Amino acid sequence: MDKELISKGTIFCTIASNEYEPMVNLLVDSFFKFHPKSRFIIFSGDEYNLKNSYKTPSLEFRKLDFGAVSGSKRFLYSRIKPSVLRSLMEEGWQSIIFLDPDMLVMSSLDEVIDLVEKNSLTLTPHILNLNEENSIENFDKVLLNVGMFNAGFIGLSQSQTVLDFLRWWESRTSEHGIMLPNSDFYFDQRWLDLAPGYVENCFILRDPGVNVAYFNLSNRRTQIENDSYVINGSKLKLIHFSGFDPEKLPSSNNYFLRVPISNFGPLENVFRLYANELLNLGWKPRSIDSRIRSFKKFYSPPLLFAKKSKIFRFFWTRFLRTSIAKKLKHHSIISQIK
Amino acid sequence: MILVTDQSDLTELQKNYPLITFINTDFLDNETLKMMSKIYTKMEFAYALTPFVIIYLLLNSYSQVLFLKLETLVLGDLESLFIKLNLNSAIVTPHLLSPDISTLNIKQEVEVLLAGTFNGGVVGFRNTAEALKYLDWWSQKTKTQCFIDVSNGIHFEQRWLDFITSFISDLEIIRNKGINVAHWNLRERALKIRDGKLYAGTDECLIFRFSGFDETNPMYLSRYKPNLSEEELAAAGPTFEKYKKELRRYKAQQDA
Repeated sequence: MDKELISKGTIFCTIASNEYEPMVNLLVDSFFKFHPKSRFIIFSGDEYNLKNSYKTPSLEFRKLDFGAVSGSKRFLYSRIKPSVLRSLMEEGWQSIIFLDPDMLVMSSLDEVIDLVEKNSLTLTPHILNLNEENSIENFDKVLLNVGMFNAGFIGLSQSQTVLDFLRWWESRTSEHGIMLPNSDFYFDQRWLDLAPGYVENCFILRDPGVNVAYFNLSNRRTQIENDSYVINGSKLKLIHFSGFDPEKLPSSNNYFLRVPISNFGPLENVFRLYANELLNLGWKPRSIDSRIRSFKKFYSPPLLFAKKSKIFRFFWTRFLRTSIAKKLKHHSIISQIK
Repeated sequence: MILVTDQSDLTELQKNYPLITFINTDFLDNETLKMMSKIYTKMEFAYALTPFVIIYLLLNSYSQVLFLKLETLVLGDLESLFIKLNLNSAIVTPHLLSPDISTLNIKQEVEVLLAGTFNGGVVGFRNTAEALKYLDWWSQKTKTQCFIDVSNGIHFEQRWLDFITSFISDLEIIRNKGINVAHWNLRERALKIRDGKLYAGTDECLIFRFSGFDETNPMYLSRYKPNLSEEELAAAGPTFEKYKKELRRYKAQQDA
């Protein structure tokens, strides 16, 4: 049964540019299937062409204003996340659940909502164990740089502690929410590693059925029971198509980071269906590979020999970090969301 | 119990300090010991042995182990930590406990992000399947990857502790401000002396860490923070002096 969420009770939200419109449509569709009476807000800097069927009082669209701040869309959108969450908390919502646009709700989130309501901050780790045999090669080292917790799911409940945390996170991402190879910043996400220390009653949600993604599926056992997907004994609730490229999937057996899609077990079919749905809805963004290529072109050391030099790379990343931080310093977007 | 990493004959030490049990690295298999001592400096080797010695103690009749790094001063009863440990598989202490919006704090935060969210100087484990599984994984990491390689995210044994929130479900994050007071958190701990005791906020200071203390340069609390202001150090001053005095006393005793 859908958990009845009263006004200013629990709000769900996502933040996405219109490049992600097909993904947002699928997310919203899956969300209302299990929570038809709950509230959901889409934040975007672009206009959205939402399906007519979604135009219900439960779904709200809010336009973001990035002002003078420039940069890649991914940079802008991850940078603005803490501001959006802080603004919702100041509006008086008792609980807020942020979902990345590339997610699908696969069953009722009532259990998750209960946990979010009971705790100040709820985070999901990227992985819950590390079975060396099945894991993505060196993925533990990847996590050391990108952060222990996945910022695609964040649960918050109303308290001064959480508000203080959000204001702090907002200040950090507005000046340091950038991604540099082999550096200590990874958008908004890396800062979350400090959350268990900073937020009393920070809950680490270890439900294997929540935030299921390529980075943890290889280590989880997926089964179908009574027409539902069950991951390590827990019903699949939320799937995250992180790093997803629907254009590539039909012709490839590999997912992002060369993870074989066969590792996903019975969920392989869900990933393929999701790709088809996105293509049917007019998926257009640049491929992930090209985004990575353009990123590398901009951020990598210009000389071939320098790429191989650890010392050069060390100073290069620090130079970039300082120069980018300086460039952005006077374009804070903190105050642009009320 | 003290693990001595660079000495095999402990007879003299044991005779001089009968209240302490000393162990050496004999509990490690020869191959591991040989390999680790070959690739690591003395300090890296000692840090890398943290999970190994905890596993050894948990598997040899101790149900709980509270690990303290050597540059630590215990100032009060630690029973409260063992009570927490009795209810959980592990306890850890975060480097920082409160978000400080000021830009002054960014440098400290970035240092913590690079060095590890939790401090490796005070950690506790109980003999549970989950704790042992994590310790086993941690020891596999420190066996070959316990050094500083910031560009790859590695900072001795400590950075691997970040995974503990992911791997252990019954983990207690110690938020008592009197535990693990050190140069990196002096600003947020509001140290005060009351009735001759050191307090961090309302919590009695029970564990003070002198991480980075250099005997050859005893003016500074930590070589990592030579510019620590007197204001920040203020109430910790007498504890610091006590630590230096005790160190000198032991050194004189040793030399004699």
